[in-house]
Amino acid sequence: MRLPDHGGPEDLMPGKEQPDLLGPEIEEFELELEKEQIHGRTALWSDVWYRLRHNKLAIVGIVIIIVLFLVAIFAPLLATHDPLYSPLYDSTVSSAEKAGAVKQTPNSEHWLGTDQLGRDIYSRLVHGSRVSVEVGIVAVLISLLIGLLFGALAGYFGGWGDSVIMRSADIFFAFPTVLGAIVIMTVLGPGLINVFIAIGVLGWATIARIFRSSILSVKENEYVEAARAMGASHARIIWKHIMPNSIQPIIVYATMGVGGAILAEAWLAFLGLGQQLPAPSWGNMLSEYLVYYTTDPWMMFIPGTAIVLSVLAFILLGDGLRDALDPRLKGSV
Amino acid sequence: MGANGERLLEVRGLKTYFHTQAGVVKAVDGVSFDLDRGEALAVVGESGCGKSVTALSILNLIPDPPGKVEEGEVIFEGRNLLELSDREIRQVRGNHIGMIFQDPMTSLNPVFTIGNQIREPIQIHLGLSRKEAKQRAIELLEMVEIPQAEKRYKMYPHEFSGGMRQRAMIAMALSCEPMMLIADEPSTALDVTIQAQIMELIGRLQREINLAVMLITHDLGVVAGVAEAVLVMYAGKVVEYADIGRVYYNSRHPYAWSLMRSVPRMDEKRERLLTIGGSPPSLINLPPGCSFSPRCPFAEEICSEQEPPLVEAEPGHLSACHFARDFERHGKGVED
Repeated sequence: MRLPDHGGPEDLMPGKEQPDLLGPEIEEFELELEKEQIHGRTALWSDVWYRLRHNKLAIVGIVIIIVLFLVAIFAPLLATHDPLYSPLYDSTVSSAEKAGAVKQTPNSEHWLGTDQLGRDIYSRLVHGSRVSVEVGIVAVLISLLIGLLFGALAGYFGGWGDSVIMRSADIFFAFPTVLGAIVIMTVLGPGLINVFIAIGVLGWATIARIFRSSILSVKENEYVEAARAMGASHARIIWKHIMPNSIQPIIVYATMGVGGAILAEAWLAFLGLGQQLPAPSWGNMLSEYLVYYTTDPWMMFIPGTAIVLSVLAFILLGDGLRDALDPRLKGSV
Repeated sequence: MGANGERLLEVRGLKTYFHTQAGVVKAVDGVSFDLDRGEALAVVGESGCGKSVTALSILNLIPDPPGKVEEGEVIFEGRNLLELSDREIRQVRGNHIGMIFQDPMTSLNPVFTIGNQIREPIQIHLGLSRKEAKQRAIELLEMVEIPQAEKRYKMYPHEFSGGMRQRAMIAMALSCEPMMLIADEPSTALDVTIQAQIMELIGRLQREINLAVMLITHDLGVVAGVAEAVLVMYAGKVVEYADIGRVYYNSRHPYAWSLMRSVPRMDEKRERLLTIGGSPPSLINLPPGCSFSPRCPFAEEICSEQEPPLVEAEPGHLSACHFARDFERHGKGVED
């Protein structure tokens, strides 16, 4: 029986004319394909942004945060009145006018009304946003500075230094943040700078703990040993090889921490330890207006809402970042 | 063993112990060997026999605690590496001695491009500018036969296959033109054809740039093509040290001899592979006498009583066996 003529192996023998297999064209095509993949898939941050963009709650958070920052930056331009001006202390204002100037409900002249001293609540709110933003950023930066440094030392080098650092962190954990801040503020005295320090110093322990545990797993990777075998110094290994691979939980925590710091500042100001009157901050506005909750409850809701919204915004963004940075956490996004 | 070249590395009586809760693990217990310029030495033995610890001790990379180099000298170009300061040893690592690791999938940092990582040692040690370093990195990628080096330079490790990553690791290890390369099981994690390519590459580089290679492996087939001398380790000690031909065809130690016989061969028809009975001893509680005696097919009374010294069984052929000098006769007698 004869097999159909398929062309035997001798067709592939050297010397025989080979059909052009489109080698270079195929290679060219694969190259293009790879190029597309590089730009579509590999860059971590564009990937993160892609996933973040498709998370509605995170977008809400981002929008609120952007508005908050813009308000804080352009506060003097956005305010309609002097936030400190009180007609009660103005000798040119008549007594009758003074009586009518306080605790006005929102109107076209005073968008959010006036407070018990006749000051424009909207302008005070706008100026108060600066305090919140400053505290949020500065306090978290201080926490990051201390927390990352000690976390890295503890996680990377281990040994007795690790024990000392982490036991100190445990001591900080034993204090509720606000109670701890009150203690520190009592020692340092009231004032905005001391609020930065108190909240910042108290936040380091969590960051150190997260960073340490993250480093403990990352430093066992072979590329860390490979870097050591290449002669890289400890500082270089921590900064270049460990940091980028263990910073993700820190980014999430720090974002949420900004919200936490804003809340803590409001607490302290509420207790009279933060921004000192008459300068406005959301916390001290809240504490002033709370007094009138039976007669004019709308007043306390204004700074209250501002605080809730900003804290919520940072938590939403942090939550979104956590999902975006770790796609495995929630299945497919 | 090569007596032809210039001496590059001398390891003398190296002892590296790990202090664990269970006791002291004598991972490396008195290892000595030499390496000449351009020579390739294979260090073979089963898992946990101290091969990798020996290599890491040379570069002072033993995690301390729990590990510690207790004794010995590592003379590299006239300097004892074990006595160098942290800063001085960093100058040796990567710059004079390069090292590549077993698993190329994990020994590259996933967040940086290949190019970035090859550039790193160049910038650390040679102080070249970023641009010059890039040029050099691309040349290195070409040297290790990575096609389209310029394009590959910008890629991330996960876009490379295992073989390509190992090539990139070799490029990184050789970036500062070291005189010596330590390859710790460079082909174990790769498939067979890629293994052969990587070994061929190491062999070619060894010849072309006169690189001294310390090749750690448990695959005797891998050794054959590249190495000139073989150091066989068992339970932290050197049991046989000779030219590759001697170890392969005229082994003077029952462990090495059994190892050679348990390699499958294409030119021999055998129903079953020979195996070495038992398992490697615990490095905390070594058996008395010769560590291999409980598994040794030729063991006699003396073996479990006295530890055999490393002696010259024939010129240039060291073996740690009581019967090293008349091994052939002794072994044959038992086998028959």
